[in-house]
Amino acid sequence: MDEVSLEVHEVSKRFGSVTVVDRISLRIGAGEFFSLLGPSGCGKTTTLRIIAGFVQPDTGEVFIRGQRATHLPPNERDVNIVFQNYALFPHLTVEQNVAFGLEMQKLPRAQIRERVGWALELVRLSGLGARYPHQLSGGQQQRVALARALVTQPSVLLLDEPLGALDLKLRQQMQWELKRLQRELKITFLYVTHDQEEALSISDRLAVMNHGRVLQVGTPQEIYERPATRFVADFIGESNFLEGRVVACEGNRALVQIGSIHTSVVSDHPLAIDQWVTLAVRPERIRLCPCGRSPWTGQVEELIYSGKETRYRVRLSPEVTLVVSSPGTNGIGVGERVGVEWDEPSLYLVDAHEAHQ
Amino acid sequence: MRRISELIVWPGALWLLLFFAIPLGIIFLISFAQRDLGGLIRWEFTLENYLRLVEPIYWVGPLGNSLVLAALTTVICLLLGYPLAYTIARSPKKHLLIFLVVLPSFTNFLVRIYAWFILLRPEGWLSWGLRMLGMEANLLGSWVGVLIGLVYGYLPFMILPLYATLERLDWALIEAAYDLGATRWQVFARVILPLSRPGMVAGALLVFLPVLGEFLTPKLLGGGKVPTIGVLIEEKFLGRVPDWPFGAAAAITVMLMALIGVSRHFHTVRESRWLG
Amino acid sequence: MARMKRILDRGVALLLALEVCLTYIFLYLPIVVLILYSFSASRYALVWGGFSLEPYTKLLTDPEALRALGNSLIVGIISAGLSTLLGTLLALGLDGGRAWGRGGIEVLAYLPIVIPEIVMGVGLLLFFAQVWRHLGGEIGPLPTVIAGHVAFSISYVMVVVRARLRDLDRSLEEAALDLGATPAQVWRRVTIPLLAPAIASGALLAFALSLDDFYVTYFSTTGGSAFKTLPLYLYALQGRAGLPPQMNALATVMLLASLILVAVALLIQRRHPSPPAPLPSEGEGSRGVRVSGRNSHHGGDRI
Repeated sequence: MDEVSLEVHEVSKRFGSVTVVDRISLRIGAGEFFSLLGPSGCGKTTTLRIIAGFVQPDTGEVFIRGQRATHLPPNERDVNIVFQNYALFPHLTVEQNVAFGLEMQKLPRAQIRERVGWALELVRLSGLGARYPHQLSGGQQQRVALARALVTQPSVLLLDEPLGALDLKLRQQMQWELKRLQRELKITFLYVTHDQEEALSISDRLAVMNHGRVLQVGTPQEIYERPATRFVADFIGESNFLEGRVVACEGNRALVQIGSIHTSVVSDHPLAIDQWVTLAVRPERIRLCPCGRSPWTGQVEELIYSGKETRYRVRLSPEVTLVVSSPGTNGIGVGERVGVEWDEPSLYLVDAHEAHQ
Repeated sequence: MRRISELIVWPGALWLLLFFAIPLGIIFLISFAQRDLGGLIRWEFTLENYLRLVEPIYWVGPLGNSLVLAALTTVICLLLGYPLAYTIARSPKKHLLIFLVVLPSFTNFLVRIYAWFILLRPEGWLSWGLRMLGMEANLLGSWVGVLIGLVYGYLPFMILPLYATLERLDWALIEAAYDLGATRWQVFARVILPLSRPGMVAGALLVFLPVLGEFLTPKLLGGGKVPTIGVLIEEKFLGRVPDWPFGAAAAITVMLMALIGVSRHFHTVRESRWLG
Repeated sequence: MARMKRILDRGVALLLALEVCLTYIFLYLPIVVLILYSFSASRYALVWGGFSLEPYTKLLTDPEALRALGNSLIVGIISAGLSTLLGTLLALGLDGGRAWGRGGIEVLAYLPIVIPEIVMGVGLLLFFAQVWRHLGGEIGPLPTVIAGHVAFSISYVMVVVRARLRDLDRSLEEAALDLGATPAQVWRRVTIPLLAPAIASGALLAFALSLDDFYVTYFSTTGGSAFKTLPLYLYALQGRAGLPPQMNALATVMLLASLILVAVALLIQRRHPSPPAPLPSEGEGSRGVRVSGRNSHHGGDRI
């Protein structure tokens, strides 16, 4: 990261007795598409609003392009926000809406008109300038909101779940659009969403949040392949969780006993014998194989075929059930005995605790 | 933004303080004073005015009349107004119909009372109609006449909030009730009526409170036979034998009655959107 | 059994329809009478005496009536203007949140609506008769009446504007701030334009209330003054030996004038409708877009 365009340092916010944002620190580089991902109530929107200036943090600082902005009012910050409900001014036309920020900057008329034209073209809405927001569809309104926020060329663009109200196809289309726009304009995007698929597909980097804390920051690959905590492993994609006890360890490898089976796992986290750990493996990383090939065998309890893949629920033991996802169909039916196997890197440690179960 | 919004309330607030709160305070003070020879004020503390009000002649008389009239008017307006509000709310021409309800209110109140003169006089249309039906009645100068005038004046104030509430009703709820096997009556009594309570409360307040203080209709249509507290107050301040302290006490009493009536439903008054 | 129920249902429906019709007739009977008699040639307003336009000509040449009309208009316009300004400021200011004395001011602002007008009238009578006289000044009736009218109109204007303010999408003000507007600019360019229909409604309401007011005007001018607004003029008529015919003409004219005002108000409404929800179209989500509203205020959403 060469230039840090947005930095949030140890920011906290409490509403009454609830800590909504808990010592969050982030550094976002210039031109990055960065996402804040988390379930409802995790504090991501509040964090966004702190950056925008609508909420004053209890602790911590916000730096925009290196300048301290924590106590600046929203109208003096060089960030613009695209609201979840678009917040288009209903009494102004599309053109007047987009021009608003430029008028606040007191730019000359001709220049405003030019920039507005550029912005509308950018979001492919040229020609609709004279319409009023209520005359547009939801998708069009969203693009006007985008144009209005982009036309002043802010250092950072904040987006608060902008695609939430659109249906699937349109949403996917807009995701491509946003990515394209961001690349073209090279503006830093800070994107808030609860949709993990969306976050994974459009972000350069993302932060997973829960209960006001940042649990993990990384590229989509890092987050997906190597979730740092159980929550992240569960929230992103799907995971099978296995609880076991460390029976032997050497260097960074450990032998874990789960029920009546042993498996080895690689972990950077130092482990001790008799420690209880939680391991995770994703359904699509597990393969079904003939019984003889793997020490792990079980019975297929249920299967769901959905065209692209088939999901099996395989019971290995009274305590252990695995969800396995295979592409297409294998002809395996309910009640059959199968073996399961995975490559060692697919299994990883997500949690280690002292407590005995 | 905070600072500006803190300041801008003050012009309005000061005006209200000066021309509303302080006058009320003066009434309050005077109600404890004594009547001097001219009917004006001798500044000596006394509770006599309030004690007089509690005397049977005043309690059963003007105070009682006012309460009874207000209650009767409210009930009649509710009974007459509810079916109307309901029908209008369900009608495709609701905007026109509700406008027609409000339209008569655009004429001046006094003029409408005078019109009732025409109708209620012994030679008037209504009396004539009643005689046709074999009844002899002198409507002018009677309770009935006053009641008619009051109901007439305040009916729109009952209908509007009722209409506003009924119009917002989610008809899907009624369909659901039918779907679950309710009869018409049950749907009305157990779904529609409870849901229209806010409108009924608002309407009741809008009728009951002003009627308490009415003196025009009782005086003009009552011919002296229907003394209300309003009539009393007017007499004591602007009549031939003034008695300001007593009138002040009566005014405070009316105010208290109104406040008590409203305090239980204050939030309904605040959110009455019919005014918007 | 089912047949009886159907007859019962029919009967109820018929009764309802009858009641509605009768009530409408009840509402319009006096109006019809008034309009009818406004075309009657007679010395008295309440007696029919042949068709004629006499009442109207008499009205136009009646100095008292015309003066009262003039007074009413002056009072109405001035008090509507003042109370709209003060009431709107009050609504905007109370909106800012709880602070010093806010609760008390709010109660004060709602009281005039609750308290019977006669009480307010009496209060003003005492206030002006006693206080001003003691302060050594004699205030003419015009300022007195205007003061009273503004006092009760402020509350109504405030209620109307406040109701609309509540419906206002908070994120619009935030968006304006975010785009660089100062708080004053936000009010000028976003809040007040969006409140305009409510402010106009409030002004009309204040004007109508003022025109129609009797109690406050009557008491605050101690009932016997020469200064009369229309309602006072009308009231004074009944002392005489019979109501003059021009009264009916006056009533009809006022009715017409109110109708015109309402038509104007409706036209304004049509030109500037309140913003409806966005239209769904092909490929659009059906989930309501208006997620915000009060949620965005105070930074309270925890999404």
